[in-house]
Amino acid sequence: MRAQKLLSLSLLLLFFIPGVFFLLEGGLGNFPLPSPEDFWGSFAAQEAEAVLEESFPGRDQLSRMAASLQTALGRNQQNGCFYSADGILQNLPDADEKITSENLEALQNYADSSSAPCYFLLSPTSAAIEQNKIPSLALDSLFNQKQYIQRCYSALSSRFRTIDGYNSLFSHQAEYLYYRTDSRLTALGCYYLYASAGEKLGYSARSINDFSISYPLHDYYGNLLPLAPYAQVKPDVVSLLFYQKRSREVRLVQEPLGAAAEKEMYDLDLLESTDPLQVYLGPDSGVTDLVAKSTPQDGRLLVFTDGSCNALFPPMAIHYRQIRVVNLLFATLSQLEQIHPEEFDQVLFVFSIDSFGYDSTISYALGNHASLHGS
Amino acid sequence: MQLTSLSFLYLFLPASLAVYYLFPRRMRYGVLLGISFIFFLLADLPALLLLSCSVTADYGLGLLMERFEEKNHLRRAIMLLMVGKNLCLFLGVFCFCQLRGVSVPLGLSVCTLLGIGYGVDIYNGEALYEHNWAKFMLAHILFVKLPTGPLVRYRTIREQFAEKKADLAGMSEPICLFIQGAAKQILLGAPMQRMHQSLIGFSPAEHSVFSLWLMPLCAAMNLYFSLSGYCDMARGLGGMFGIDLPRNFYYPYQSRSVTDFVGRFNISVTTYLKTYIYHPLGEDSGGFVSTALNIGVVTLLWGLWFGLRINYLLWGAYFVLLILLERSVWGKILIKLPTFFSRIYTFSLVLFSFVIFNGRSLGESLFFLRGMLGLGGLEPASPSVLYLASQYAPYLVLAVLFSTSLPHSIKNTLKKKSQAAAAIAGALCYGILLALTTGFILHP
Repeated sequence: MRAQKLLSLSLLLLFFIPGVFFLLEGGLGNFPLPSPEDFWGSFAAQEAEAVLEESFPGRDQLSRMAASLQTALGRNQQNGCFYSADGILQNLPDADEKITSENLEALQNYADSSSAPCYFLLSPTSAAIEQNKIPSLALDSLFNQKQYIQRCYSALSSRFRTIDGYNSLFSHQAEYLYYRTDSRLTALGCYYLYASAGEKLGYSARSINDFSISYPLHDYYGNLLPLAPYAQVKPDVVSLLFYQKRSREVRLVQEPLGAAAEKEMYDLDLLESTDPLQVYLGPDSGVTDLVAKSTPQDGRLLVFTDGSCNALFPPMAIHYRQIRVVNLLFATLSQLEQIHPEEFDQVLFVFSIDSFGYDSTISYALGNHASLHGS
Repeated sequence: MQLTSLSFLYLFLPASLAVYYLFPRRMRYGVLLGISFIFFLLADLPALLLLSCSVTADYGLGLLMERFEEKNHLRRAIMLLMVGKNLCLFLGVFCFCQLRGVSVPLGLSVCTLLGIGYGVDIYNGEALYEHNWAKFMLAHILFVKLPTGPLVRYRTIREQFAEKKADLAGMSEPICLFIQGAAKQILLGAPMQRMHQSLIGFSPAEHSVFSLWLMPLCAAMNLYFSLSGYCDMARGLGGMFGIDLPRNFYYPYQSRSVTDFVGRFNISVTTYLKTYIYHPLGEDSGGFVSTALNIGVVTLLWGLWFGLRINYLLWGAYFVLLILLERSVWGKILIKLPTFFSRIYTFSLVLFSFVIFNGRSLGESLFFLRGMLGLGGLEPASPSVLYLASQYAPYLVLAVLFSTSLPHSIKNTLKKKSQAAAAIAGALCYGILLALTTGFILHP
């Protein structure tokens, strides 16, 4: 009887203790005050559950324990991401056909009305390039990004010159091309895109040895980690490329269309920000200029992009007098209105598949740009 | 609010227990009614309003029936009115929800079927007229059994309001049962559900013979662990508040015949249907045709319990056919078979039944069946299904193991050897189980 009482008491305590800790830590104050509509739609309990989940005593330890057990039992996929000690890879679903065709149409319309030659680089994600990190049985169900890129390229007219980023990256797949915890390309990954773009854009890409590489951040955890928060992945290293052969100074001009602020190429303070990868092109402001000082080059390049390959532009800047980078996911209407395509010699479109195949903002923004300039 | 949510496990439940035991015994059923109202309010307010009105109407009709004690035709009319009202409410709301693709109001089936049972019972003199609205309401909306039952006769639950017998020593078993139920639901039911959903989501081109065999197995495990998990939680919770609720599952996948399976799977529904339909129809006292019809009606309704779909009806019909065949053709042979073979026989037939259960149409079920038998020209195993199996294989093995009585037998053997050691080991095991369950809720 005593043993039974002891068992009851100890088990009861297990239910009481977390709640008591939660209340002692002021958790009750975090509960939103429910409205009658919340009760009617049963949202009050859902909201309370979300608050409790967020601040549950021992949440991290319990979640980590569950994650370790799940991994030990063979699980290596969560929230659409594969994970292993080598990194987290986002598994893309099949691209949205409607959005893809709208984006392609917007690109074609732009090229048809532009006097400058147009170039298109569609960059694959890590799931396509680093297939060796994906469980072999899962490969069959992967979205075929290579085929998708080929399909997109062939849908465009000869007004476009397309850049083969896929093969360039795939031939270096063993290198550190993608962050382990972020969906974006590393500086090295972007360097290979820079190298393959040179042939089409008409510049002679510099060897990687012509750049000095610094590694200012060694413990970067990127945007994929929240999707697999307890995956045991090593942190990433953020690297910066500096061209050192000739004294070419490249300055970064933020908000060139408004209160322009000229800065060093890399603002190292941004490594402390919530998104350290802003170090490549400054905070997301829609439009950014890269201006080369004392350069014999006089070409001007206009880039429309989605922010997935920002590390691509610093090495590219040594071949131009000015590169204007327009992030279509952030650019405002007034910014788009002030960009005059006729001022540029070349127009480059750089997108990652994970935005081009799923995000209609690209066609929307390009459509706005075209209509603002009467084409 | 769900029984497996953190807010229920660590806030609502401890607070309810504390409040409940702070009050004197005579007031506890009132407190329990208050707790049930709050639970219902947080979980599904529209359902609370709808069912409160319905239950109050049943209460009133019951009193009206008592007033016309001497006039049997009026009593009969009132009983039919109660049955009709509850049946219309149940079927009407159920069909409405199914057509609109919205979830069925919480407690709809439990409250309306209990109302029908109460009407029939007081008419037949098998239950006393209820004069206490609060107790009547509590018997219907007792929060522990609202989500998935078990379905209990009115008098069974009503009898327990008088004696509040829970004490600290007696609490250990219900708490363990509750933790066991939560673990069943979260640790095994949920992964099986995810695996089953992935398999159901395969296109015909993605399917292979292996995936089609895996699908009914996952469906069987998912259904068992989800439903029996909730039922164990309900029984455990009931025990904590001094109310005994019956078992709803008794290791159905180790049944020795299909008839045995139907008696062990969703027991409270089977018992309810037998009490209110099979017995009044005359059971098996008539000839073969009458018995077959009676079994047919009850088993078809048993299948339809899972929803109004042609496949569930066919699922029931499949069991009707097998039960009749067992009764008239090979039942006697089955009894003589060694346990191992009769269990294999039953489990294989039950597994095939889930092919019907899985399909969204008869055509789809036939496609699954042809594929399973290797007639659909499908490859033996596709990489997609092998990958899925590699992700969930340990869960599947554990699910099969825990659907048998083996773990329970081991527990009992340990208990017999030393009560104290079993108590310590129990506290440790159930503590770990609760921690794991909480971890899996936080990180599904």
